[in-house]
Amino acid sequence: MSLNCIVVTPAETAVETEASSITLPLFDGNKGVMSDHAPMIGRLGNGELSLLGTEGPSRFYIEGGFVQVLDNTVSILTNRVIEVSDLDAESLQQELKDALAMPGNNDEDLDLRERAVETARSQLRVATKS
Amino acid sequence: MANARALDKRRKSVRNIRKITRTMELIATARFKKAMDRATAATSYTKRITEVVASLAKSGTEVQHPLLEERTATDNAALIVLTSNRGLCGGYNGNIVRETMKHFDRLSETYDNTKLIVSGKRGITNLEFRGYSADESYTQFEDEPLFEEVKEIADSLLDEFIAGRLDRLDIAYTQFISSSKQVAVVETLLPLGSVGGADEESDDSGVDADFEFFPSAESILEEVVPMSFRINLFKCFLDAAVSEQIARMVAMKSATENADDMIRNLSMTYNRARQSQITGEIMEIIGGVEALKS
Repeated sequence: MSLNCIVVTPAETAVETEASSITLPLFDGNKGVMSDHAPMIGRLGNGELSLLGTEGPSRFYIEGGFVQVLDNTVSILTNRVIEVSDLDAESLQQELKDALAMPGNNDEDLDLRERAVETARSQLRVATKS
Repeated sequence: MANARALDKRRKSVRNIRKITRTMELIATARFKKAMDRATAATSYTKRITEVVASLAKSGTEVQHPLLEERTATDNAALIVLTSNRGLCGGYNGNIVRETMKHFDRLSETYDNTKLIVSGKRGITNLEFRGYSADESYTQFEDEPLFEEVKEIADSLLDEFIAGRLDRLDIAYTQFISSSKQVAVVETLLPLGSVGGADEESDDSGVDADFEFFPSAESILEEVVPMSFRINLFKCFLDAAVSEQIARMVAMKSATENADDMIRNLSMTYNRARQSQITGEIMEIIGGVEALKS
């Protein structure tokens, strides 16, 4: 029980807690971190962050950013943090449908659509996993 | 001597105005505290991102990114102006508008095409009155700018910059230095001079470990640079929000004090007028009695 986990978004410090193990959604796959991990900086993707803390496990959805592991402190810088219990699979299905229906006539629209679809899909994946 | 009744009426209206300014002062104080907390929260993010950049630089990665390169082209420039939606905040908007006009003229001399992006109703109308019409305007930012909203603007500007449709981006806003000092400044946002203070080699706060990078240092850099631009822009919005509340607080405080002074003066004049009116009436009565006696 010696990992200090801090999750910050540009607007606030969302989570600050002790944990024994942390699973991070890196850019290209999940990665687990336990105490005395070697110093590391990683790029995060969209996905689930799970912590095993003193009061049992907790799960969050995070969107991109970075993670820095140093001296048993895990700092997670991300754009958005949502607690998994706050995600609603049904409304996310609808969001995904809306995202897929967005126009894709030029490069910019296509880009926007892809981003929206990707966000909705990864949120849905986290929401339906439990 | 002025009419006592008119003076009393005037004093009442000053009292009412004082009540309003006093309330506005209290509201501004409460909002300032909230805005200040948000600004502090954002600082913890910037501090950490600076740490990441510092460790990237130390690992020997060459910090190179299209957003960091100085552009030689002088085709398109843009100037963002952050003002408030509401008035009654002293010289807050006036100071920014003055800086904006100076800087906009200077930009127009070197760049063929200069775009003016204004946030805040006061700035939009004020600049239009002076003959600078905004190409883009936003009015949705109040005292709590959301990162999501700022990010949207930041991303569209980033796309334009990378596509080469924008060569320089400046911002005019009120910088928050301390709670007793805020200055209207113009800063260059793009191209980024340095990423979140990467030049500050002095802060060796224990970040001398050998980091492993996932997936690679270059990939992280690719993400860090745009992120630090977004956070810079967001910081400007937060600073502007905090400064606006302080400006309103100070303006309303002096308005309240001024009203106090006025009430005191008016009370004095009113009492004198009332006294002289009574004296006059007594004189009349005595005069009448004397006239009856004789």
